[in-house]
Amino acid sequence: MSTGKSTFLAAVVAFACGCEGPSKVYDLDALVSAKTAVVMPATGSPNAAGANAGKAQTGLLINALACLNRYTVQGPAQFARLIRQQADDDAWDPKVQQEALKKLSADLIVLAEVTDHRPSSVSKSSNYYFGSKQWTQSVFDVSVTVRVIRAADGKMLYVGNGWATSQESYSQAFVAATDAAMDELRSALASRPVRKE
Amino acid sequence: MNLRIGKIIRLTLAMPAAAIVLAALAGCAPQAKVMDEQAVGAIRVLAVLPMDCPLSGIGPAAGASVLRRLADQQPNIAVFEGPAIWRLAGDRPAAVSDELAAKVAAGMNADAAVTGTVAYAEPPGLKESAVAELTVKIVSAKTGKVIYLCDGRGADQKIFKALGGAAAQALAAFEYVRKNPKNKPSNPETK
Repeated sequence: MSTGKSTFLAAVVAFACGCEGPSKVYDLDALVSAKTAVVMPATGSPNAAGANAGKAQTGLLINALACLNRYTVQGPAQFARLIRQQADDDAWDPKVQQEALKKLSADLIVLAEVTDHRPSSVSKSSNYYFGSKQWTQSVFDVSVTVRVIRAADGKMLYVGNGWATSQESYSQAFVAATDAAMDELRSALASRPVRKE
Repeated sequence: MNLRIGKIIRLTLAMPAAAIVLAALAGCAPQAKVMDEQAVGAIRVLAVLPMDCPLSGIGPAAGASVLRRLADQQPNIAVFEGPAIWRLAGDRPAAVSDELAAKVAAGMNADAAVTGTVAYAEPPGLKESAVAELTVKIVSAKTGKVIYLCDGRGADQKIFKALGGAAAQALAAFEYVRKNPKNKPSNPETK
């Protein structure tokens, strides 16, 4: 197949798959003007090994947002307490959410999902002068999706996807994947420094 | 003469083969049902709720894929994430009924709500690539009726990419109807 044809085919396949960039900022002005962010509990991965991965991801996300030195970051606990005071089980009511967030003066809600959390093995080999050696090495794959939405109405302001592989541990892969998912947001916000009042 | 007979034989053999290929392609195309083309075309504000996933907590990620696809491909629609407070109740939300979806959409001043189901044809971890199957359902806030229903399938080593591919396929007919409001979509076919 000629290069032109294969490029065209690749473009068609990419279009059909809906392959966009891993991360995208939708409304930088809203992200810049926000002051407070509430991180919701992240959901875990579908693998058996990743059921509790969401809890780890929530913590990492709180840290990553705090490191931006821009927002007052809250975990989900205070928000949960407020919701419990307002309504017992009406978890789908947008008005209940809006009221609680107004009380917290929260501008942003941050959501995350751990989509991959699995080990895989890589075959490796080395050739020596007197023979060769073959072995399998375990690697840890982690992928995360982060969304920042406007608390007032639920408009998506930022979406970030990050993935990483570590030969050492899940925690290393987790940190790297979260870092990658937040990278585009970090770069975008760096172009708009915080104004000190 | 021999040449002509050869041509006829070749054509006779080629036609059933072409029919088989076309049938296979038609079978692979996502089955879309656009129940109310007018209502689909009139959507201006859309609330996206997490998809229901019977096996895992990946439903919200599937909802996010749909949200992103709509935000990128439909600039004329204001797309909003549904209430996130259900996350405080646990890792997995219960399935959202059509009635509740319409109620949530009305509460968010949206014209319709997106809901649906996600499942795996090949669960991640068992094979190199995960295959996600997504059913997207759009419920009108005004009538509470389903106005759009379509399946999508995506495969990739990374689950969120598989979900992105499935979302693109599940929304293909929606995008077609929005782009060509008067014509009925021919591919993916509508019923």
